[in-house]
Amino acid sequence: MRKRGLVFLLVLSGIIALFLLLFSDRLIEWGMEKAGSSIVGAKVEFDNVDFRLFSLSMSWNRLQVTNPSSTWRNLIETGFVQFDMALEPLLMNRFVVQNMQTDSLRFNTKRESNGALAGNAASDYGPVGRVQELITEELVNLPAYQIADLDELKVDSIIRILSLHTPSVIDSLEENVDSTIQYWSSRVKKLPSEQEIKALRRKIETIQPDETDSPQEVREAIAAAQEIRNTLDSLMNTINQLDRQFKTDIRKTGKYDENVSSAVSGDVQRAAELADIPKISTAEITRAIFGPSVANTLLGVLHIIGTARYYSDIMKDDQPEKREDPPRLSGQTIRYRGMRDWPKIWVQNMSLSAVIAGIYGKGTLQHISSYQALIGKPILLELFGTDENGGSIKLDGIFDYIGEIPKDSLLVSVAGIPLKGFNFASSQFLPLEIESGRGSISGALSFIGERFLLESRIKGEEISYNEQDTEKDNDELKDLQQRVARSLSSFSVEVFSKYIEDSFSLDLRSDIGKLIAEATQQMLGDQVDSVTQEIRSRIEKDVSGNLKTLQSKMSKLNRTQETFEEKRRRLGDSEELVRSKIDALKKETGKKIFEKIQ
Amino acid sequence: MFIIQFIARLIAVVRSAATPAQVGGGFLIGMAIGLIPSFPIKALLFIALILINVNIAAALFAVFAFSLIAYIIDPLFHSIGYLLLVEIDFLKPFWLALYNTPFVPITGFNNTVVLGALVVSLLLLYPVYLGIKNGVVAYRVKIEPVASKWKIVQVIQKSSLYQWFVRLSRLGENLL
Repeated sequence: MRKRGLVFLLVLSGIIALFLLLFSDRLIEWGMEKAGSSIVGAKVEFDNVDFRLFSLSMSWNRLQVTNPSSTWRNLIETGFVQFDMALEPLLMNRFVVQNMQTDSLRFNTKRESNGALAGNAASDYGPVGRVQELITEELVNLPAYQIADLDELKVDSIIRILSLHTPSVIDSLEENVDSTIQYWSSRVKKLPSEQEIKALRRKIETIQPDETDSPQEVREAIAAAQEIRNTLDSLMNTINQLDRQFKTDIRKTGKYDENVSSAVSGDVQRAAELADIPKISTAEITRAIFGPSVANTLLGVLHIIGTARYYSDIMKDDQPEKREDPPRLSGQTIRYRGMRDWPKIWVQNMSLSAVIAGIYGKGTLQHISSYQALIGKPILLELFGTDENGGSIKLDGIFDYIGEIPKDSLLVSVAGIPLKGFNFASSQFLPLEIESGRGSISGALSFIGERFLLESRIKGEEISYNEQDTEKDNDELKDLQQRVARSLSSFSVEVFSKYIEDSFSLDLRSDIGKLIAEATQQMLGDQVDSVTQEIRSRIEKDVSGNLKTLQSKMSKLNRTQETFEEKRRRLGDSEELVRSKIDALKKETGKKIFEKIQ
Repeated sequence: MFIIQFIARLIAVVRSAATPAQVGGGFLIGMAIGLIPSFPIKALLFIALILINVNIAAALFAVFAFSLIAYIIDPLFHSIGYLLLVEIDFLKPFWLALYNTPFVPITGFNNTVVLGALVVSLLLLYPVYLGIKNGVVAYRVKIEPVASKWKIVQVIQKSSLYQWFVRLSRLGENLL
């Protein structure tokens, strides 16, 4: 035992204790911000963390959790938070908090700085990540409506950029017609020639029933006629079969105009997409107005669910598969269950208060844990509040990861919320600020395993707009849309979204969208139609040469068919003639027999 | 340069005034510190190093050498740790009991690399101690009188690196 070593250790411990006393709060704050940021995938910031070692309590004045989908906004922001940690679990490296007090929890607040971080977000996980991707795609594909853009549209440039499909469709049709012509020309050539038909006819005409004197002559004439008839029957059978085949081929190739028309329409549609020519429909307009805010809110909620699912999943394996290549010196941590078993993190009860849509509510968030199966309890969220004007909020959520299939559900009901200052929608359409009015939101979200369902209804009543907000910016369309919106004292929006068996839909319905669509159609419809027509004419002009060639080939095919028909008709006539001769011969035979009997 | 550094440190350790047992003891603690990637265990071993009268230079040398070795054979530690923690069923009650014992989980024993390194360190304790102790005795009796005349050893002993290491070791010994 070194005495000087003991002194050295005591001095060192003293220095460390002093250092911790001075800097522990900063160190803990730094550690929690780092861990939190890596979990969320965007900045997590604590203000004034205060850790008291002897009482094992911790508090902070403010916590901001950036929304990774919109990094200038916070997903959640808290005011003052205080909690005590349980000693026994802490000695076993587990953080169990029985009661956590949270003041003024707020959602979707503005940030003073960008909270983006390089790197991936944990919530891009499984089906939740897939739904997030699909919603983001919806956001990217929102329609844009700009009159000025339509005026400046250069159809020539669009057609130059666009690789037209119609010429290749016409080429393919031409090839088809060519091969049909070739085939039928050779088949028609194999049919008896004009001379052969004439010779056959002459042969038939030489049979003269009136000039047969004896029954023997009649028999010979009948035999000759029958032979010709057999030949003709066989020929006609073949020709009739060919005729059916030919007609089918003609029918097929005859649809060339439909094919060309459909190819032209396809090219027009692609050109319209390339030129960003919008479809004016209620659904599209509603999507453009409300899509961004609905999608961003939904992305925020899904991010929370995705993060919760991700961490519940990676923490619940008590006997995991061996990781074949963990980072050097990091290994793999194995967790055990049994006895005094606490999950790594467990906040048993969090009392919270929040201002949602301007209404103050109080509630609890229970059993936030890193391992639900261990404690056998899902995360439960309850929040309720009313205000003196009859407004109310109610929020119920269950985040259940106890079993194999994760189950998340959220019910929101907000009524009588003041809409003053509410910016209608963050779209190009309605940059209107509401001066007064009340609104309500009801919604149900369920995400069970891979099945996602959302239904939400938003209503606004007794609305008036801030008149000073009117901007005359020479945008006729915007002015019109604003006039339409201002004429309404109420609005409603319905949101339906689902993701079931890899099929996703996001439908938005709104009365305001319908009215704006009608107004937009009135103003923009003719312009959109005229630009679309211009594109169509230009495409039709570009393919007119190919179309002419195709039409001339079709005429050639029709001529081949006419030749075939002519031969068929001539042979048919000959067959008819020989049949009449045979009938006449038969009559003649009967007559002769009768004469002999007499 | 790296080889010269290594040899200079080795010579400084075996030529120190410490007894072979102190060198062996210091080496063992240094080896464990170098091998086990757990901060609480490293801290405990560091306290032991300071309190127990072992050779600190040997410990520093071992920390340096075994940190490199640990990095190289880390996959072996991971496999041993996984085998013991997961695949051998009859050990599970033992790990569970440890897991529920105050302070023990803080050591990170339930991490495959920590446990693998800890077990390897424990297995190496006695053979390494014996090897180092006997090696130091053999060096001092048989090799040092001859080796001190070698030019390479004289060059190394005169090198600033060697002198720095000797001074650092003496400083450590004097402080404690």
